[in-house]
Amino acid sequence: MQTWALIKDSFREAIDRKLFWVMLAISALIALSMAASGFDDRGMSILFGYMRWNSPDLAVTSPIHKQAVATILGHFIADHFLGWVGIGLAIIATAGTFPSLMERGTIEVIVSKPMRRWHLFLGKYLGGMVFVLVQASIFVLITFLVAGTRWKVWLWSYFWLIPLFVVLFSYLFCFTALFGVLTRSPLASLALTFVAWFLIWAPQATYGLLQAFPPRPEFNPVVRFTEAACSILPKTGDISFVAIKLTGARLPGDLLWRSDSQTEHDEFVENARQVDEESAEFSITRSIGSSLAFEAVIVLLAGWRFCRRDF
Amino acid sequence: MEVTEITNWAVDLIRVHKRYGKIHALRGVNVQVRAGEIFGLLGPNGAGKTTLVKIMMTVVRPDEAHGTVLGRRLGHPKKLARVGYLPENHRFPPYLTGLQVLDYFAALAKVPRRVRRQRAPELLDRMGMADWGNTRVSKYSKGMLQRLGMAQALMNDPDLLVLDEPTDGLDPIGRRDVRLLLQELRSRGKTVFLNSHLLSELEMVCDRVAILVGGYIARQGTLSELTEHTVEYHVVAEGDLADLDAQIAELQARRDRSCVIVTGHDTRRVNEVIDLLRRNGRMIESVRPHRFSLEDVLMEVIGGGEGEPVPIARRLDAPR
Repeated sequence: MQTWALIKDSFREAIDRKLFWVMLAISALIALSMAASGFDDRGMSILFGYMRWNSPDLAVTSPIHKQAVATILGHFIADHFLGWVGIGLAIIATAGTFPSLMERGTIEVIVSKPMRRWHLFLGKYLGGMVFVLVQASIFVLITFLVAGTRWKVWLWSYFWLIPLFVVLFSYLFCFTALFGVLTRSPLASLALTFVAWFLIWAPQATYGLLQAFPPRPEFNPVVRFTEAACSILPKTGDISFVAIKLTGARLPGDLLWRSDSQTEHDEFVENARQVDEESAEFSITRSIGSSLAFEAVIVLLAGWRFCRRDF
Repeated sequence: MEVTEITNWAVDLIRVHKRYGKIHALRGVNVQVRAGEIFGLLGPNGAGKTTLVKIMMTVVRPDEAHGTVLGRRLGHPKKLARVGYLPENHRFPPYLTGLQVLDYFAALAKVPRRVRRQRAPELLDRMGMADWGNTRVSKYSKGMLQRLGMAQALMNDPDLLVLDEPTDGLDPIGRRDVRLLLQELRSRGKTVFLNSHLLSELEMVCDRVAILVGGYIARQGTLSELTEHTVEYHVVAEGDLADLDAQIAELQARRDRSCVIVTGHDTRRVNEVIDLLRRNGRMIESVRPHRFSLEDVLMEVIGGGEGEPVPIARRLDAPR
């Protein structure tokens, strides 16, 4: 009863903010822009049929059609929209969750109720996650329906993006909670969460560069430090990798490459094969498990502070 | 914290200490509240009243505290379900309506949904806000928020009601309503712990009060216990009494124009003053006992620099 009340309140609070509706509007806009294009047996159209190209390569009967749609959904939508814009908006929308809970005059009433402070903290934490779960579900559902009706591909694996998005959000929401409890300020909590996001992203980006351009041996300590940081910190960058793997998407160039140069094409196919091999070696369990372990430590720290402080 | 003893006190706080850095807010406070009474806590600003209330309600963690609330250790979750609390300057989420506020906080107090649905409109009606249940609290006036806060504190039908400045922001009618409500609750056997700086309010409803000064309970008892040692008798006579000043002083009384004031509950000295006036041909117009108000007592305590803890031995009269 108490947990449900907390979740419901978090949701009401989030809905009260304009950002909830902004996020819904953005979701609708993306779905609408997707719906403006369509595929059929002859080719594709855009601007709701205003322009069209008839080509067997673009038709739904094309052997790469389903793969191309999966790539658009799993790669562009998941990685670029959900992974960055969606997460950013979700963090902004939930930055006030803990500061508003701890507002003077409100927190006194709440902590005097017959519930453990840990229960209260975790209930509110869960409330923030549920808000994002709802937003992600709406977004994925409407884009799934558009892809099915307009692009003629019912990609059921696309629904994996919902839990993935929530998990990615939770990697950062733990910082929102921690900074919210420490500062009691939505703005400070928001700013510090974005700083934390950057600090998590930076070692991953550095690691990627080091892999692509192996440094000289004297930089080995930097490499080791980067590797250690990447293994401990939440792996936000892995999520797009996981999304591509679970939705069955491929790198876009692999599918859409059209070059007259056979050599260039062969090189590209070889690169794609290497990516596939790396993907096969990649462990989703290890990536998400270690990230959740780090998140748990931050949540414990935030919860401990929340339970110990006076109001 | 630990359970020191199980008593029939509704509130039995022993040696409550709290420090905020270098400030020693509470220095071993002992407070006992009988079940079924209205108990008032008063004191000057910064005396530690709100801190003490917050410790009772687990909002603030004490450095040291013993004793019980409703027979169980401080902060016992099951007993908190039997306590209603209205903090000072409370704020409710502005996106909720009045009914939603009552439902939300009652759900946190583990009040079953069926009871919540029935009780919320009843209490709003009782607080004179029946038409405001579906309006967002962001549109409420301060007085309405205070009434809603009272309703919130009553949603779990508490055995102990802890109110911090409950009449703050209320107009005279609202204050009277709160007084009547508290008296009604007392008649139903509920205990009320009232923290207020409005001494006249406390005087009108409280059975017992405690005066908190500088982190200590300086005085604690019934209103008559606190005020009886500070009674005065005013003997008013005709004419100027200046020529009798020396003899009045000998009787340990003082003169204020044509009035002789005898401090203390000493009727023998009052009669001696009357005899003196009559011996000197003065007509006695009136003899009036003048009991000190709570405000006088508070001023005396603050002015006298009192602030020593009430001994725990005074708790021997605890009801069992």
